[in-house]
Amino acid sequence: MAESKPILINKKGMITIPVDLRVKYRMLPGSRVSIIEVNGHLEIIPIVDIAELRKHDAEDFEKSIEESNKQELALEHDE
Amino acid sequence: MTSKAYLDTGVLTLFLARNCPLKVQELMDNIKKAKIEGHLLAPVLTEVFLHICKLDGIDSAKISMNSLLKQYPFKIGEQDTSLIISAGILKCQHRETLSYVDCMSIAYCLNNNCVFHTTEKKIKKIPGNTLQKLDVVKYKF
Repeated sequence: MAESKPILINKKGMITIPVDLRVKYRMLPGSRVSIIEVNGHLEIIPIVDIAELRKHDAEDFEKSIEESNKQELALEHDE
Repeated sequence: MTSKAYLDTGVLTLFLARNCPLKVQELMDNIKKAKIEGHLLAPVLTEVFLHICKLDGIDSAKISMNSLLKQYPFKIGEQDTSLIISAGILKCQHRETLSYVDCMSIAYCLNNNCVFHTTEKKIKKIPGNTLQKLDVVKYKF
């Protein structure tokens, strides 16, 4: 896991993400990210084009949904 | 007047699929251009997160969720008393067939005059006056 040296936050609250991390996470100039608080810490989460996120077929999602629905109904009936 | 579309878990996952149907792509394009008002509830987004997480890991799920919500102007509905009561009644009436999220989604659509965009096959087959009032657009996986 990569770790940066301490980074100074300037008056405007801006920080510089170290170059090795920018390369590793494909943070190119002009790309956008969100900073989101998750469970008590901050996460930098990229915003990418939806086309880049499409890695699975609809059938894979259908199976996953059916499996979860069965599990949920089984849990309810066990109660 | 802009029409209101409420999207369920299946439709959102179809949009994130490699073989996304043209009909879903067109719906999402219209939401992006604000020709249609897109509505969601947080539990639906949590389900979508789960399915991406199961298939592709937690980091992909975070990026997909963030990218979807930052690039499409969805209204995330409030879970107020009206919704809780309407969804609760539906769950009481159809506990064998509808999940909690299904009940919240249907109640939200009825309370807010949204068209329900869903992959759920059984909705209109379930007896009951309430469900017959629901305006539904179905999609297939």
